[in-house]
Amino acid sequence: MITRSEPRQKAVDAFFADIATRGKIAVLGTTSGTIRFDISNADSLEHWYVTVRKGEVAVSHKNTRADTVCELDKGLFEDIAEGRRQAMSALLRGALVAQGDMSLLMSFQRLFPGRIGSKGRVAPISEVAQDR
Amino acid sequence: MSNELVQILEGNTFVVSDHTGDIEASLTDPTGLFSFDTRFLSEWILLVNGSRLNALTVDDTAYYETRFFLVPGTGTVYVDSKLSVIRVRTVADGFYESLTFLNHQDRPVDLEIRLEAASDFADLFEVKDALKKKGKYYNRIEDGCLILGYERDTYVRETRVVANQATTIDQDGVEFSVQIAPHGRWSTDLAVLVDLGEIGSNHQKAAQKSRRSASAKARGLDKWIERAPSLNCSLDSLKRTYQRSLVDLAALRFSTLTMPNHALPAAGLPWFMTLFGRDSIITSLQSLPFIPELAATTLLALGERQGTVIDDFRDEDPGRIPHEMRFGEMTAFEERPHSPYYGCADATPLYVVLLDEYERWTGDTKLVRSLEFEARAAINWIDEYADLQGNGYLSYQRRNEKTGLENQCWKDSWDSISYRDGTLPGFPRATCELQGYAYDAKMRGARLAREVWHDPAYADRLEHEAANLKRRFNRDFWVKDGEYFALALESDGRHVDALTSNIGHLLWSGIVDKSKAAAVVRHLMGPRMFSGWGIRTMAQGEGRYNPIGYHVGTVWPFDNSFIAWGLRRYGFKREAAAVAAGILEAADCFDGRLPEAFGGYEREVTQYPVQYPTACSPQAWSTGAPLLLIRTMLGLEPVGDHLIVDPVLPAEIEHLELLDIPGRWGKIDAFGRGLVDVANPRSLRRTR
Repeated sequence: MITRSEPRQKAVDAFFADIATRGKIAVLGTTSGTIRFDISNADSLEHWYVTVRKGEVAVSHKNTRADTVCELDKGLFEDIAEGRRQAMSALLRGALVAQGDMSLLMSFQRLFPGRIGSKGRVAPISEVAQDR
Repeated sequence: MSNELVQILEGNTFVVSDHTGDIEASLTDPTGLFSFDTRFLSEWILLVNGSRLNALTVDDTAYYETRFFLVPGTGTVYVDSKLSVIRVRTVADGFYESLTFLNHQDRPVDLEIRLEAASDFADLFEVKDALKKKGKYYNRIEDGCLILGYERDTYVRETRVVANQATTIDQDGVEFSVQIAPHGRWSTDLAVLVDLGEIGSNHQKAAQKSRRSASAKARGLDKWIERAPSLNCSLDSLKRTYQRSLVDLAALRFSTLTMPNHALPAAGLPWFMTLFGRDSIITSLQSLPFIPELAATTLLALGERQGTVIDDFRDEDPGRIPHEMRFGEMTAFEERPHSPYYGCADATPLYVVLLDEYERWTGDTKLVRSLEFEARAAINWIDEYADLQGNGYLSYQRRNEKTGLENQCWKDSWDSISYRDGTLPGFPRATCELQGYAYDAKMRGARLAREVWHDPAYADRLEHEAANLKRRFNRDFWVKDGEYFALALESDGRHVDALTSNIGHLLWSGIVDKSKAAAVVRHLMGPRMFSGWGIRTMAQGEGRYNPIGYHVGTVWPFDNSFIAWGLRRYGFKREAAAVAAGILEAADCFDGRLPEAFGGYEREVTQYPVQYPTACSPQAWSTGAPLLLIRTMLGLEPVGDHLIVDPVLPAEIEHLELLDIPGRWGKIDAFGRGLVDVANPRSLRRTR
């Protein structure tokens, strides 16, 4: 059902680069804390630290104390970052293992995209008329 | 359902069994131990010397504990038994079972006691739709425990049967070989624990912490009831109903994974023990004057899960408040969209309504400030994402055509929205009550913007938009030849013109022009809609009217409680008292526990309200209905730091007092005397 259309080697880097450069992120306006992502594949383990201070997001590889630790495969992270899979379902499945402050993860996962290919509402008639 | 027993503990772990305490699930018999929408035990059968037992009596006075008194025998004729068995089951993070065997003979007796255990680990959705499992089952014996397991990729669920005194443990159960002395007794304790792996660990810790002795739990329940205002009344039936509502609300408490120590109202026992946007908000509104902390948790939990992206599978948009959260296997593998699912058109405006009402009662501006972003996003959703018809009205149409919900208003059955002649309209559908909720959300959002968020420009804008909506609504939805509001608008502007109880919600929201209110009330209290017990979901004489049709003729207590509130809002106090009287008398016929819905038959015809067969009882918003009706009859309205009390009660209630009503005023008492003759509610006399 879900097909992989693009090379995704850069998906993890791209996701973290994006959230680090977005400026103050409104949906995290009341969120503070640090999440560590342990992202593994066959021959490597990456640690990503995301620190949120009332919407300001900083990303680093530098070891620091984390409120929440999430472990998952690189392939799954890429799927989540590109809307092929959803983080909350992965958590229920045990494919994403989280420890610590669950509220922080709940807030953070708002930064992942919705399901790939989603179109949203059908444009209302009046808007279509205005646009064209 | 009627022959089954349900036990629960503050959350979504519950047991459904037969009257001996046995569990033997089949497709038509959904018994078992359930937790997080998964069945962890589908078989749990007590055998004594190879035979099952019979129930003498069952004592289930507490919602978390049941005592089964059992005897051997074949069942039809009772013979003096030489053995009795007391089976006490307490629900916690699984359940704990204590078995006591009493030998009534003057010689020793040898017993082979066995408990057969098995689990199908079915998702609630699979139980409903009889679907096949995709993973693998396993059993193993470890450290004196029997472990039943299920595995599909990384998804693992286990049930642990702990039986310390067992003589034998095998793949299918545990066994005890005992000899009991003459007139002696033998007891053992077992535990059946659910294991959700990592996701459940926080929650299980909280459940373990709250696992105390039954008496401590009883004290907890007593405390819960004690904290609520106390009600004194000349009518014993109303006292009973009030008590029942408080106890049932305690049983309906549900904690989310992120807030294990706070409770919000789940929708219904047992199958809807989860977070529902609409049901949790409605029940929180009803119970605000009594148990305000339910509203606070509801607002936080729903805010945390508010939509942020466009996701067609989950019908999610930014700002949208979720409809339903589930935790089972099918949700975990994205075969169902409930993580959470957002297909609900009313929860989003109602979220803002609850936030404002909560602040008006409690003065908790801290919470309102912390949820400013969420409230603004909810208001934004109304115009930005829900104007699907492009005419400035809130409407709905699912984008997930496979597993999404077709009707996203509270009347969510397939035939609930229709024309007078029974024809069903197309999509998107803009039902009328949604416009009322949107209006109310903007008016209340404006008040919060002005008083709490200190943004007067935003407040002005919202009030302007609300006034505009009200003006257009009273023009576009008004059915002139019938003098009522259409149930919905089609995309082309046509009136979906069935006469329904939805017009009552419009009074509650305040969107109705004063000049039109009397006509609306005439319909609500007239013979086509008022059955004598309450207001029907659909008026007699409409094409699809059926007194036992789910949303097309039955009377819904929750619906009536909001209509009564609306009647008061427009000054129709006597009519509100008449509706309250009818629903509360019906409640007494159900021992104080109102069903979700009952038949729309004329009261004079059946003499007794005919219960609509539903799967869940208690249902949260039916449990909340008597609370809102009490508030309405007493005319409780927070104004600034004061609570206004303006009682208008049916004459049957000679005297009613509600003591220690909590709020920003501290605690206040309210008193009222019954004066309104409700025998003829159709006389449209107004008290003001």
